[in-house]
Amino acid sequence: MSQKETKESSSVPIIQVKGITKKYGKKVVHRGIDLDVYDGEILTLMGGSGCGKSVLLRSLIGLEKPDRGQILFHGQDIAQMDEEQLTEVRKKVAYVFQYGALFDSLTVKDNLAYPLREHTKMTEDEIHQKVIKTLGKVGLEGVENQFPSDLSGGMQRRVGVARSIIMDPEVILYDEPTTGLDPYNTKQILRIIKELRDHGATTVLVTHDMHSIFTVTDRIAFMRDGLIDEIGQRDVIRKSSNDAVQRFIHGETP
Amino acid sequence: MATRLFDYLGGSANLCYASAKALFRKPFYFDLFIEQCYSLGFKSISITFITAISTGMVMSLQFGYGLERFGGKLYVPKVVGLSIMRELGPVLTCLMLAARAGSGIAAEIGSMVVTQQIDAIRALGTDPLKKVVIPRILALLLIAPLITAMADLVGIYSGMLISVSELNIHPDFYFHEGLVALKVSDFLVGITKTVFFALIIGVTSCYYGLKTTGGTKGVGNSTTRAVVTSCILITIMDFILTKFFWMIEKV
Repeated sequence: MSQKETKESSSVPIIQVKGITKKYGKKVVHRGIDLDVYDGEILTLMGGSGCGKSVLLRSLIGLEKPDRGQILFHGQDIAQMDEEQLTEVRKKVAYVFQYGALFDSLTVKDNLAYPLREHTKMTEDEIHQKVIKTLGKVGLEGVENQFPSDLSGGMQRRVGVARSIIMDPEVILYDEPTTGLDPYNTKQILRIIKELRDHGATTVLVTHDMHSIFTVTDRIAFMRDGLIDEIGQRDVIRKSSNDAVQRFIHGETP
Repeated sequence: MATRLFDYLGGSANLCYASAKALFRKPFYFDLFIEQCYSLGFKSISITFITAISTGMVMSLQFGYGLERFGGKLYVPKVVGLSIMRELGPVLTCLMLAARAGSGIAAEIGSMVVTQQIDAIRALGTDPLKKVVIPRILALLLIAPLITAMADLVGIYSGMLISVSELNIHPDFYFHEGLVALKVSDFLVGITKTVFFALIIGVTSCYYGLKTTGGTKGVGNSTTRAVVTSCILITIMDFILTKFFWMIEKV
């Protein structure tokens, strides 16, 4: 195992990844990844394109199944769960998609109300109140009756975040949430990520955006060749002596 | 080619099995089923009726002038009625459904795949089979026989218009020979075929939609494959069912 742990947070791991491997045809994506995600932290998965960050993130909510290994959420192996069992996990673990993945046939309100209508017994009035409150959290008042196509890319991302957090999840997984956004929307998304962490949400973030990484992150896992090459606190990784990490941070040839 | 065929057969069989299992599991989305009945059924009525009208008229003309040479003009109502009820009504209506509803299903689901909406349905703790696949297949299973029954009547009636105006056949005679003289089994055979055709359209379109990769080009490819595969399978299945039903009726 080439993972090099430079420093570890305190507290208990809420998610434990143990030796997962994944192949698509002949392409090996994960070669035996071990990773612990601790309660209340923001962990960023960093690495070059195609190194398996997004696949790892998708595996944490059961959207991808590893070929081997375990992914334990509160001690239960989600890699072995079927879709029905995963439903319970997905009420506690939210996934924010890169481009929002909003349902374009539904209004913003119906997008946000979707998990509430599916998993709670709230009345339509209560759902409406919760939708308005959650939209307020992401700075989007008054857009509830619009369709996703009426919104800008940045607003769609924030609606995507709002939909993911409306069930008050324990863990939030973000797949490149700031890619392609203007500075204002990037700042808004980073503010939301920090605020949610302050309210107790555990966060796993996949991003290439160095500013995002060093602004909000507690720990960073640097991935390379299907493995976690180095993991540690933000400042430790920033000053890492690992040549690959330094080249990545400074945008040099990998 | 062979690999794609086996991929399709295995994948669609899997989809059928998984959908059948999910069908009896709560929750049930009756509202989505009704929505699909409207979207796939009601909106397909015009195209299927136009096809039925054209078929009925052309059949009357062709058989009218063709049989006249052998003194068999009076058989036109029976031939038209029988052909439409047993064969042309179900097949042409379902081919039109494959073109309109099947392409719509494959394109819509394909777009949902490439924009990660299907992943979002899963990530939000719901099942794409129950939310997307089952309502569409069930809607097709209901609407295909209904639309075919209506298209049969429209086709036979339009045949009557031509028979009366061009062939001088009396409407009462046409109505009696074209409809009343037909057996219930003629109607049932045609309608039963449409249930199989609807299943082919629904499963094939959902399968190719869910298998979409590669962005907008992939959506186009899935849509084309869904329509072409559905049409080919409908014609093959039509022969198998026709043979099967004649065997049963002869016993």
